[in-house]
Amino acid sequence: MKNNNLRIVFAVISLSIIILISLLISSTNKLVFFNRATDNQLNILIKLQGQYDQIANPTFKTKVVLYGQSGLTREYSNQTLTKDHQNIFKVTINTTGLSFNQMYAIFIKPDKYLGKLFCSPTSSSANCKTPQIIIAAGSNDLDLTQDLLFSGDISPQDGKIAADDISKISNQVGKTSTDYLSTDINSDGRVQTVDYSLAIYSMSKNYIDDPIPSSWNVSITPTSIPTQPQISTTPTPIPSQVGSVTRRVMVIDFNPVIESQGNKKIRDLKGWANPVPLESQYINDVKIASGGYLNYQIVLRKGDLDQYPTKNNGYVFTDEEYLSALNSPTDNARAIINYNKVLNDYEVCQKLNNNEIDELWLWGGPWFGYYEVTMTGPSAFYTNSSPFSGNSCNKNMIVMGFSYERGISEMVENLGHGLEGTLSHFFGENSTTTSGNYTTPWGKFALSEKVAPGKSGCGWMHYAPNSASDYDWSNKRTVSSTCDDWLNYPNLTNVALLIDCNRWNCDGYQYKKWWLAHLPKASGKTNNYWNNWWKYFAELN
Amino acid sequence: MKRLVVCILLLSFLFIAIWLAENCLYQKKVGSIEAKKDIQQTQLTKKQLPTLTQTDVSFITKRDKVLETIIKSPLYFSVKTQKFSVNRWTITIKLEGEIKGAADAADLRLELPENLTVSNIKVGPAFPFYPRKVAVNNYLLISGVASADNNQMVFGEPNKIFAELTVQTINNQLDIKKIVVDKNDTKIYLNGESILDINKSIKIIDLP
Repeated sequence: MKNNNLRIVFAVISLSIIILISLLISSTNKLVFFNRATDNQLNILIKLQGQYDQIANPTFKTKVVLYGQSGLTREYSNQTLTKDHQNIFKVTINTTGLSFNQMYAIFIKPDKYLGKLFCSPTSSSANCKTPQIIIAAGSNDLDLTQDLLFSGDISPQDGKIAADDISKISNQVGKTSTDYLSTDINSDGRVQTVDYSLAIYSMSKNYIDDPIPSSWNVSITPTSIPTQPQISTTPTPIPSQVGSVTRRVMVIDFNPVIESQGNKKIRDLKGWANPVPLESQYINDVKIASGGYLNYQIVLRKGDLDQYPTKNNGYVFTDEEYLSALNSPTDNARAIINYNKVLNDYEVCQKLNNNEIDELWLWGGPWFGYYEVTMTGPSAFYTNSSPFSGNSCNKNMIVMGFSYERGISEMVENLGHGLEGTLSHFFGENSTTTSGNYTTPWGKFALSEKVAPGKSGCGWMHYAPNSASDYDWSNKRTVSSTCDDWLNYPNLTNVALLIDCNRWNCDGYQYKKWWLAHLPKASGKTNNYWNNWWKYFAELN
Repeated sequence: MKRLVVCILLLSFLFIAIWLAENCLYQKKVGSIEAKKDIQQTQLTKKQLPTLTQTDVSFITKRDKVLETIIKSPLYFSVKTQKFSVNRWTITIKLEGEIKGAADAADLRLELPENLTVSNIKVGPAFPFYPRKVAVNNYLLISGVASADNNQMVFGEPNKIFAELTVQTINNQLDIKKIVVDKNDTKIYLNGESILDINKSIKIIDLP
């Protein structure tokens, strides 16, 4: 009996497998196996001479050649160049097998066009001396539309516009075909005076294919540039040359009990995060980003306090008011807390003055009224908010305001804002939101494409070097950035590299850690500025 | 055992039924795609070739009108030089050939010796339009093309001056008094075909 059952089970399984395979065969007419797509590719945008608005789907066979510093690396023939918009065209090449640890120059020659050499989006042709294009694993976008590619070099392409090109086009004006026409420069299916005119223009400028330098300038050590595969959630820290500091932290965690909801604490009631693991992750992130320099140590915790912090107008939430404020916040809900009352209630200044703690972290929910970061003390300054005074603290102290409704990314962002404010204070420049001629290292570091096109540094918390708007951390546009060079500070090489959001996995949390990890942390001073910028934030006294 | 046989039969029947249904659906899908493809191909066949603009038609009319009057015959460049002073010459280059011959584009490229510079380029009446006149990096390149301006198309005409050059030495020094014509990049074309008479065309310009 048992054997019979086994046979039945076996028969059912066998037939099921046969049915499944048959279904696969019959529905697709072939067997489909799972294969891992090779998605290492480079999407290049270029701008072609001519007007393509009214031309439906022009395509051009295109040659793309990659040059490393040692010469020709790979040549791609007959790649299809398709219209992206207007006269911007896109070609995609497979980069599998390429070395991702070197920089490239790219020569592009579409059919009927003259070839152009690019070392970066902003250096091409005669200015292209040093390969600067980084190709990472995965998908890369490269915008080379700042320079125009000129036409007129028709088949057989010899890299220049000559009498034979002009004569052939002139001779064929009027010819139409749905097939390929070598003299139809704009690929609209007809040879016209516009094609003739395009070629004449290029001839008048004596344009030719860009020559390839016999040797490249080599002034960059590409191995210092992390490529995408090396990006991880915990970037490899650069070993600190400046030792380490420990900052002792007092944590005050307001977590009121909501009696009307079965005496549940607000955090449990709303399913908000537990601060403790967030704190651990935060401490670890800061340690890594600062190269082991800044070590937080929680020495005192006032946890799960059944109360709402008092606002600066004396207002204190009731449970009902708070639950209501979560949906429609009132003016009282929007008010900032009375920091000094918190400091007094929990004897924070006393602990600070007695050298028991260095920093205060507050936890709360939405509308609790904390600044992301603020500061008090005898020489407190604007960090991300105005400093507060009127207490007995006789040393400077940072007060972080964390929300357990949010997560680790916002915690790191708070720190980033604190550093931005601190560095802006000490260097006397804030380039995060306004353009200008910034002269200090910090002023240059925080530049983004938004405020300084072509001169991006590392950006700031809300703006990555290539961001187009606030919090735009997943923008794939490629910009020239000096951010990696700041790892060499104070010995900057002034080399800008092309980067896009793949450098931080196009993720906000990763970006913030990437940004923090690029803050200079070398020993000594340069022009009276500490080379370790973390010092300004961590060693306030 | 009986149960096993019944079960296998049932499952076999189920398998055949599903297989037939799938194939039926597949054939239907293929049929639909084929029909769609046929419609698209018919549309494509019926699709008219791109039309030309009035400018194009005008260009073609003018061009063809001129082409009826000319004879396709070889043309070439000739040269005359004249010494102005110890270190200064004029070089006159003409487009030569049968009187009814014509060209729609021509390039003349000269390789200049060191210490010789082109101080002036004056284009002649051989072509109605010279889009390129450059003298850089020890070479000189002049291009003449036909032009459809005004009410007629004018081609390059033989027995007329292509260009007059004034050249001079730097620091009165000129070791090599020869200008070499670049045979690869010197071209005369008509209707997309080369009509350059290589044998008759100048190869070297000797400066007296």
